[in-house]
Amino acid sequence: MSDMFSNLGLGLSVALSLQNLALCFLGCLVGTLIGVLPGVGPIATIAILLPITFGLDPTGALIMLAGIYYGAQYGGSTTAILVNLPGEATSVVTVLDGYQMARQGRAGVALGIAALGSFFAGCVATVAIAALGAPLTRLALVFGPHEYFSLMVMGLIFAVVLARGSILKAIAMILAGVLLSTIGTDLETGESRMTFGLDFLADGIDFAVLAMGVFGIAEILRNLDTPETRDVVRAKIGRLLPDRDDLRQSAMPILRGTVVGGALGILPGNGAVLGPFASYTMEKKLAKDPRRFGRGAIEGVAGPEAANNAGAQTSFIPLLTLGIPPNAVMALMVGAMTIHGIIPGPQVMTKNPNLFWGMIASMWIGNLMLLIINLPLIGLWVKLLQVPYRLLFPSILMFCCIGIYSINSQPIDVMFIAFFGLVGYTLLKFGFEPAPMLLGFVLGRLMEENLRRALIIARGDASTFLTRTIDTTAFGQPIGIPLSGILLGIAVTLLVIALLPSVRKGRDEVFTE
Amino acid sequence: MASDDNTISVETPRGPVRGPQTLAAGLVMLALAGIALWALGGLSSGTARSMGPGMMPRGLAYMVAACGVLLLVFGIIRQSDPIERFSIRSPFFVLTGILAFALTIRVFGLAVAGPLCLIIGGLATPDARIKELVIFAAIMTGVCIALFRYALNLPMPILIIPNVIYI
Repeated sequence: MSDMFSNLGLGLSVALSLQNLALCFLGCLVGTLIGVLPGVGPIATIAILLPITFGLDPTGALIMLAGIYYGAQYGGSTTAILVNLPGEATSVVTVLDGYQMARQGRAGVALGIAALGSFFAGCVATVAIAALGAPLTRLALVFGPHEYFSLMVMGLIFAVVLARGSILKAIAMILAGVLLSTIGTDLETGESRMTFGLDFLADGIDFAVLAMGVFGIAEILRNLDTPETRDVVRAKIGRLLPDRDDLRQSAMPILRGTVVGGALGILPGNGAVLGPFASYTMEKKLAKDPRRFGRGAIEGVAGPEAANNAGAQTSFIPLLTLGIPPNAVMALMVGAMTIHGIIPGPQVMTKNPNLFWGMIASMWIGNLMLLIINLPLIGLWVKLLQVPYRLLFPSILMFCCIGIYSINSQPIDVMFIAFFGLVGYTLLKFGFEPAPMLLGFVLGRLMEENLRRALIIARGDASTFLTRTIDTTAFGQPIGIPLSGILLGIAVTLLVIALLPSVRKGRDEVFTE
Repeated sequence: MASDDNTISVETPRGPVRGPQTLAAGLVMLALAGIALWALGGLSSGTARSMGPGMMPRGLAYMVAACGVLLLVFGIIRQSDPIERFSIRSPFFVLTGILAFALTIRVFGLAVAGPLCLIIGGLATPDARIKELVIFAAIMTGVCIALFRYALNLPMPILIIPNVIYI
């Protein structure tokens, strides 16, 4: 326990340096700025802003990126409340009651309670990360290549099960992502694979190029196809601070939302996405008068927003301790870390304690900053929401071009975002979601490396993934736990359950409610 | 989708194919697997004990192909959404705008590439107004030069006129 606080102290001393504080602030600000734009979700925001962090030192860059992430999340909620447009899956629920509150002239209170709920959830989640960080990292250190490979398989299966739409299409996307990651020079044999003789593919597809094409450009193309109906709230924003009654009504929902969202966020695969749905359903079931929901119930904003933020934060846990990104946003974080020469995983905490704890402490500071910048700046966000899309999208387009060019000063990179934009657009048209592809792409190389190593150790015997045990002691007796097999077993069970017709129907309902 | 069976309003597509979108999705996956297998050529797969460079990509390509076949089968026997209409206008202008940026940034600099990208890209929507776009492009380019070149210090030529000026 005292360890945890001394670690957090170290983190705070890093995060509170003037430069990092400024970066955290800047990240939150630009993250909200881009995230508030209708039609730009957190993934697209991070992809677009990724290049501007490349010039910084690794700690500063990650602190800024984390700030961008929270800013984008909060910006998405702002858009959901004020425009009735969910930026992405996790703010779908906020739209239901948030927009109704806004129409009743209580937009300010909705935004205020969302910010307060998020802040509270952020504080709890930061402590949870700090507390779970060290023990989980110790667990990760006993992992061998077998366990890593099985864990990644399990994570990908989770992502499939929790993706929207067809399971088969999600599987196809993940496999396609892993396949894309094998393009380039094979690290062990030095032979080039699927490069079509092109020089710039020798190092593989650039992660930032793929992300910006598939999320930035393809999103623009998709938005251009649907004629815009933007209904910015005309009613007054009203006071921002919730009064006593509001606070009393939201206190328990925020607490429950934090617990539910935080617990789901730790799951590998995209668990965080379920948090707001679970919280909303729970509040509706617990309410004395469920009919109020959908008509501007403050609990319907407070709970899901807290769950949303708690999940957003605890989804850092698998990344920081095991080195495995649980969703597309964390996949972008891995990409950013790798570019700075940091391989995510258990060794980060021991080798780079400043970075690890600094980032965790900056999460808390970032949440505080969101509370401080967002509420006074609400007028600015409303103005921004009124900029028509016909001017917004060309600006985003230009930002993408400049951003991607600034990384390597290579015009070919710019051309490739056009190519991947077209690919992403085509995939969307055929009902594929690109997020699982990005996750597969990031995990691909790690998976191949660990698969090879495990097979070498087992002399080519594939059953090693089921039989290999980790030696430990329980009740004083030495025992071997087949951890890798257990992980694979969970993955298979989960997939089978998700394919059962009754569960499938329920899954569809969760995502369409 | 399981819920499609209960809705009445969904129009049943004529002909033997009930799920054209799923069918097309299957074809896309088969094409991807085909390209990958062709690009892999004679790359050795090695053995399980020492995997060659081709084993993982080839295995993945076969798995992608299997998904493609399944999607094809489902596309024929199960109802799905119709294929969405592809627009030509927006991808054309957006992609041309990006290419224009790529081709001019090294030759003329950001002061030319930026507005070019913004104006050409801006034409992607039918309600584009050219005058508004030109003015907006001038302002945004100024902002971007200040932000990226000076505030963030990213290396990037601003204006190049061959043999005359290089900023």
